[in-house]
Amino acid sequence: MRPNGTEWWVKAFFYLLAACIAILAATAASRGNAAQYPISNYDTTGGLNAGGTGAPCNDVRFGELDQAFTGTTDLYIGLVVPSGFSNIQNFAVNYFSDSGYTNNIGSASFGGGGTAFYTISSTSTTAFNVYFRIAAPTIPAGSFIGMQGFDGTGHCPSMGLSFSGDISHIFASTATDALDGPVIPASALNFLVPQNGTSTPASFGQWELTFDNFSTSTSATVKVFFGVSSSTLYYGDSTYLPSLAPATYDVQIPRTSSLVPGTFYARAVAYNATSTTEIAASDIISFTTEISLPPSATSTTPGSGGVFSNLFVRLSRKPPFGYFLAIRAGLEGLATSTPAFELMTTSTVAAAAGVFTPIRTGFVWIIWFYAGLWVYHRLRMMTF
Amino acid sequence: MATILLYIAALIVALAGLFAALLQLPDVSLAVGIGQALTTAGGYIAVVDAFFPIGTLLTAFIGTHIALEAGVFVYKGIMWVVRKYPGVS
Repeated sequence: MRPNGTEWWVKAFFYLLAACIAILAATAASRGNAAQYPISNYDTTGGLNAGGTGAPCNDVRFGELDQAFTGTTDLYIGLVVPSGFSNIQNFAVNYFSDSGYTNNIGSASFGGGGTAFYTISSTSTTAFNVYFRIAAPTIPAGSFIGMQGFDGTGHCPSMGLSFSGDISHIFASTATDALDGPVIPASALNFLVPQNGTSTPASFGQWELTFDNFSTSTSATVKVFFGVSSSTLYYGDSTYLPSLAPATYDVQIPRTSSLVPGTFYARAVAYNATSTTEIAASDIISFTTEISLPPSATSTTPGSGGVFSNLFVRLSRKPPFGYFLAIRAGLEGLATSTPAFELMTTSTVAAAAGVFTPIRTGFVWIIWFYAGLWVYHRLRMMTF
Repeated sequence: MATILLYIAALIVALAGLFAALLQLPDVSLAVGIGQALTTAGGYIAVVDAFFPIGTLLTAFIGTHIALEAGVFVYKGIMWVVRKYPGVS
């Protein structure tokens, strides 16, 4: 018997819809996009001038934050650090309320550990590229982002060189290659992402890294190494990626003259990737978001460098789409050039026509006669 | 020959309509070999058509059949609409 009122599945559908909307809203509020926080008023000419012990450091000026940076989202600032930073051990990012970089509002922290500064792991003799993950609570719009360098004692070292950094706060897509392959476990804690292609980048380019085969891990970091051969890796610690969330990263290639031109290899190593997969509530929300929101056309266009730019290529080779691809490949093979056969006669075409035309006319009469019979039969059997 | 080309064109249109949904996918296009294969087959048929009228055969049976059934269908449709008016039977 049909119950009165609204069907139960209609109610369930709308309850489910409301729950999805709530989850999406909560996720959108807690999840940010680095590209949504542009920085204007670039000022990359600031210098780390010489400072004495205890003296305040002059800041490296990144620029003005156009939008407010709030909450638990992450703000990524990519910075190409030139060579000569051997005597600076730590970086710290501060944000200021004035363009003179004098009124300090607060400082940000780096990485997933919440450290207030980023430590250069080794003496850098070449240029390297680093991405900072600022986990600051709130940076208001109009703030000016700047960076300081100091030594292990918290003092400003004497640099004796001018600083000129390139800021890539937005991951512009000029991808030249994509790393995409199975994960080879190098050890219990480290994973190697093998390279599946090489490239010859410009003197300064960006490399798209696609991490989509990792298992979910909440305590992993990725470092990308570059090298001029597939087995030997150079310029370690070139890039610091703070999380191992399945995503696509644009990794900037170090600006070094020794690497160009030539074949270029890249590898990524995931550190501290826990072997036990922990599923957090945020992972469930993220997964719900990813399967609920269809990707944009920009991210799905092949060759666009988007997260799903390779999706159609992969799907086209898997069942059931792979069958159509095979059929299509087979149909394309039909374009073989077999010469049309010619009827062998001993006379000219006109003579042949003189022979065959009466036969053909006879066939035409017979065909139309039977067609007339068919039509007559159809009309006779027709019911209205 | 012209009649055969007409049927080949109709066949290509029918195939395109059949694959219309698939053709909306990126990097999917109707194989060039299809049109080429049909044209090649048309060349074979044209040779036979010189003494056995393939075009006439197709027109007399398929074409006439489609035209007849379409006309009957339209006639029934018109009569169905006409009978919706009161007093008309």
